[in-house]
Amino acid sequence: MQRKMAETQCQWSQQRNSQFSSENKGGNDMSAKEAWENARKALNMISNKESSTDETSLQPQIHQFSNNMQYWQPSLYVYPGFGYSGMEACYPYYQNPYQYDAYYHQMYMTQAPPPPPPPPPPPDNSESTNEMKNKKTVKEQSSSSIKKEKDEFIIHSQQPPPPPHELVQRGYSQQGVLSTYSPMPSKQAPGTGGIKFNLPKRNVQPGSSPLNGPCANQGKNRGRGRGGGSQQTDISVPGNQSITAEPVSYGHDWPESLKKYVNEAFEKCKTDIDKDQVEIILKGKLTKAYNDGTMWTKEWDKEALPSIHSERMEKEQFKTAALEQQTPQHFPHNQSLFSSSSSRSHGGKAHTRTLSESRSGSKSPSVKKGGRRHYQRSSESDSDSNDECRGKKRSLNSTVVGPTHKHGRGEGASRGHGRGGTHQGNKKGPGKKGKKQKNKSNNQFTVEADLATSERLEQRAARFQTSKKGKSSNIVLTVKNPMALNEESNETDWETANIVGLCRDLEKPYLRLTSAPDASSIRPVEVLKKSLTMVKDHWIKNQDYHYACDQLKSIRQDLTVQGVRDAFTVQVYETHARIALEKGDREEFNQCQTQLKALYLETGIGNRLEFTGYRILYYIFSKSTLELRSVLSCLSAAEKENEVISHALKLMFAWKIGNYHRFFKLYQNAPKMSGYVIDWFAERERKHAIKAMIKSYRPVLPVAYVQSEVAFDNRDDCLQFLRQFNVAFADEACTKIDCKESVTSVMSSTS
Amino acid sequence: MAHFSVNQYLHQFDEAIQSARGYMAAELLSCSHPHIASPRLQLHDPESVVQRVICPPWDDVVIGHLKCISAVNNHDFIEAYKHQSVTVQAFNKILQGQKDENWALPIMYTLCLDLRIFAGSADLQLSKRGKGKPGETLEKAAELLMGCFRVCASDNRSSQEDSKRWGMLNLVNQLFKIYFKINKLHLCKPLIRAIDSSNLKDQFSISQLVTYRYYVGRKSMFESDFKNAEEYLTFSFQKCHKKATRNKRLILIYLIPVKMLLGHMPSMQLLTKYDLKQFSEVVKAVTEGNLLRLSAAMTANEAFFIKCGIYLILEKLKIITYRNLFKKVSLILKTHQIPIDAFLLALKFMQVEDIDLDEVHCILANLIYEGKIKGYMSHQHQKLVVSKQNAFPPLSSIS
Repeated sequence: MQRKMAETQCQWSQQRNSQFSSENKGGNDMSAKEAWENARKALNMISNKESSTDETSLQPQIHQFSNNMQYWQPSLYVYPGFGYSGMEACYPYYQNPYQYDAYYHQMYMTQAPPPPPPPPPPPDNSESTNEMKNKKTVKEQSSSSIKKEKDEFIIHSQQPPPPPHELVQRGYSQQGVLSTYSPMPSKQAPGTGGIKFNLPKRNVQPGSSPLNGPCANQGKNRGRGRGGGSQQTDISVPGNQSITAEPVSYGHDWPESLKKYVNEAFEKCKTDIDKDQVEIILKGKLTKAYNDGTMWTKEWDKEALPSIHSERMEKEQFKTAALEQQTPQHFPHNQSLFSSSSSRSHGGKAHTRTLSESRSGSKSPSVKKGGRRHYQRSSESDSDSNDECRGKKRSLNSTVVGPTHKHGRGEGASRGHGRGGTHQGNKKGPGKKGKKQKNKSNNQFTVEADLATSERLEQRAARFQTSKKGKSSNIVLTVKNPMALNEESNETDWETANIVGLCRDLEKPYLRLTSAPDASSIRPVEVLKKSLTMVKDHWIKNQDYHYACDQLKSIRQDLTVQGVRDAFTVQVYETHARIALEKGDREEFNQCQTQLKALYLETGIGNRLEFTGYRILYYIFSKSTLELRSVLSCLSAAEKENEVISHALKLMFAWKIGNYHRFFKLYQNAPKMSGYVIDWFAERERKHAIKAMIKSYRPVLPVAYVQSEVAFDNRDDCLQFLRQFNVAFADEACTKIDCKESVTSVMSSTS
Repeated sequence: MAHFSVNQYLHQFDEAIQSARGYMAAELLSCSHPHIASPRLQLHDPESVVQRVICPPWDDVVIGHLKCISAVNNHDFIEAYKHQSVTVQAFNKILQGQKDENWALPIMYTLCLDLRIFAGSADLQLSKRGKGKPGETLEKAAELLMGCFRVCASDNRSSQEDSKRWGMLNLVNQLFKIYFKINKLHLCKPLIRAIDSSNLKDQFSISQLVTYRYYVGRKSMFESDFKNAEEYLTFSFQKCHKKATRNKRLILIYLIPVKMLLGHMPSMQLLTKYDLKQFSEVVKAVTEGNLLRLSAAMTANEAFFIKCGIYLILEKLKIITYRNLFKKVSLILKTHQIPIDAFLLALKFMQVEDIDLDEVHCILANLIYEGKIKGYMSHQHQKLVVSKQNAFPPLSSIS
């Protein structure tokens, strides 16, 4: 925590420095000023509470959007990229809401702030030639990137090269749709931002970035990185100048961090397009924050900066080079993210293109992403906002996946996503949603997780681990906090979206959630795995049930919150069920076995039969005849052969007809952990047995016989048990029960 | 009817409502009535047409119904359920507003019946598509029905003949059907209490009472309250319309095991009449005290018994079979002091596996404890001493 604070401070001072320096370099760039002027107006409007007009204009779009959500639903159930072919059935919790759109609407409207409208269909013919364009875009990109590599410097100091998709992009920005759209990917987990947007890094970058610096002298690709760096400082000047003036005039009531944030955003701009975009983005962001009332509470320091167009362009060009330059450090990171595609991550750009052109592989998008990430990392040294990664990825996905995806087509065409739209074949954006969403956001997570140094490395390592196992833990979305959730909702159905935690603690006390989960306090699966091992060890060593239960409950909670329902989840519940059994915690056991019942159905892994056996025993304990009936009707002949189940069934029949002799014989030979369950109702059955015996034997009944019949280990236990009925003994030594004398007291004792 | 035009339909309905003819209106809102086949009633946007003829609040009901008709004709029961639930909600509001009149109850019956049927079909369709949890829609339907039930049950002020409480039992029966299907019998309890405490308890229509007591009887049986179960199921069976053979058979599936446990064996004639031959072997085995035959009969019809949910109850017949077998042993030995070894021998003869003397003790103890054998055991002498008179009292006489 302290470190974070220090870093924030550092950031502050750095920020100031950068402001000054940029001021000095004074920008006469007219267009930049104009852009800023626009932004200022927009911001001014917000601060004057005129945002209501905005809202009204948004209204119809909201409607449209939610309609579209409905329209898409089917695609949500497909996650083919991860090879979870049979997955549909396994996600029942997330499917349900979509069947009831009324409900969904409501959720959506109440919980989300004015949701970003879907980008309206792009104007003119770009719509109709949608698909063609996408195809072309990719092609053109490849050629343009080569070109750009040659005259990189020109690109930056002058106008940006007209990107092949400029037409589309213009269409969007003119309509101002981007405004609400763009900010969403940039949400930060509390705590990550401070580290991530380390200004020093960026400022240093041009000259001394360890990655870029040395590279600058070696060949085109590397030189490029350097150019980009120096570019940044140069161009950001004009924007900065106006910014320093701006907050004074309009934003007295703005939080300091927000001003700084705005400064930073414009500082990054290199071209007009950048500024236009940033302006729109900021406007949207601020409108939202204002409407939410979070403008003053939000930690703007930690907010991601809007993505910059030219930066994205740079990266595009760099992709190929970056792939080759891959440092080993980056590699695992990439792999871990896309376990399914990791083997292809070397595919590089050319390969991807082919794929996308032919529209063949559903995996090609991930290839691209893989490349993309390499690229980003090596060129931008992490200080970059993740926006571009996202936006780009979306567009890439869409170009490739859209057509191949079952649902991608029609939907995509009707509602491109504004953000991605600024780049390439964006119009397909939503098409890939169901399928690729998780990929994408997963990506986001990693980018966001680009924390500084050791922590980052650790995370990478951890992620790598998981990915090797190919767990579904990768298929999750990053959603940071309630705010982020809201913003997220415009492109992710956050009904299906899960959180990936950021907490690294092995231990965490269980606390019942009363609000939306916070990623910073939730542990991702790889940490949970370690936690589970730790808890197990602790349990074996210390037998501290309170501790184990608490820890397991919090692990369970973290899994639930993150929507992880796989083999590991089964393992956690089984472990908890076993520990609860050992300690006779019926309540926890029942919770676990109920969950396990569902999990076995979904995943089909784990010790299903064993726990079904325990469940039967549990139903005997709770005398749930109905449940027993339904279990019985579900069991196949083969399943009845199972050791635990057959034992449980035999026990059930013995119990049903009050055959205590058989019951206790089975009790003594209980397989596995059955004995622990039977413990819970053995006492009850003993009472029944005693009553039957006392009533039916005359004149006396040997205690030893009773002891063996109801399975007492020793005579003392048996005597103690008998005494609670006020049994009368026929002799001094208490070896025989006088049944006639005892009948009244035994019969009158409660059940 | 099948070629109803929209206007004809709407005017007829309007007339029914205006003249408070509940049954006529109910027919026009029923999804099992021929009018639903009319292609002219399947409109995409019935709102405007309906609102021209029908005034609020009934317009919502008709609109919902017409939409439902379209969905039904498309065999989309998920959609049909959605519209039907809207219809029911709209109707429930109207019902709530009506004071001192209950002519609309038939409409409620129809709407709720259709709602339940659609919910069931919707669940099937959902599960076919691999979506939704089983019984999910039914549960939602149950909530809606409960809404109607509350309106009916709370109508205390109106006089008995105008009271909406007459509608309670119909709803309770619908709810029973759902709860039994989704295995949530515990939800039945408050409903039973509501009916039992009602002063109309025995005055409801006989058809509703038959259904009601069938379910309550089944419930009692699952709770091992065999006396009550017998009473309710017997009422059901006797009052059930004689032409409703299927229903009678359903009642018998539960009544026969209960009766057997209480010592009344069904005649073969009855079993043949209602096509319940599955029981015949069981009955014979129990009567003979033939454990071997019993277990063979149980295994042979296991699937059927499990499906009906009576397997575990039939298992209890073993106790009676023991009793009958032991009675035979005592008759053969013609003594009051029967060595327990003799019973063991008999059981071994019946190929009861891994049984020992102590288990025979246990079985005998239970029989004595339950009053099925009059007598006592001597542990010291390993003998059963039975009463000189009536050592094995008739099962039906045991309380």
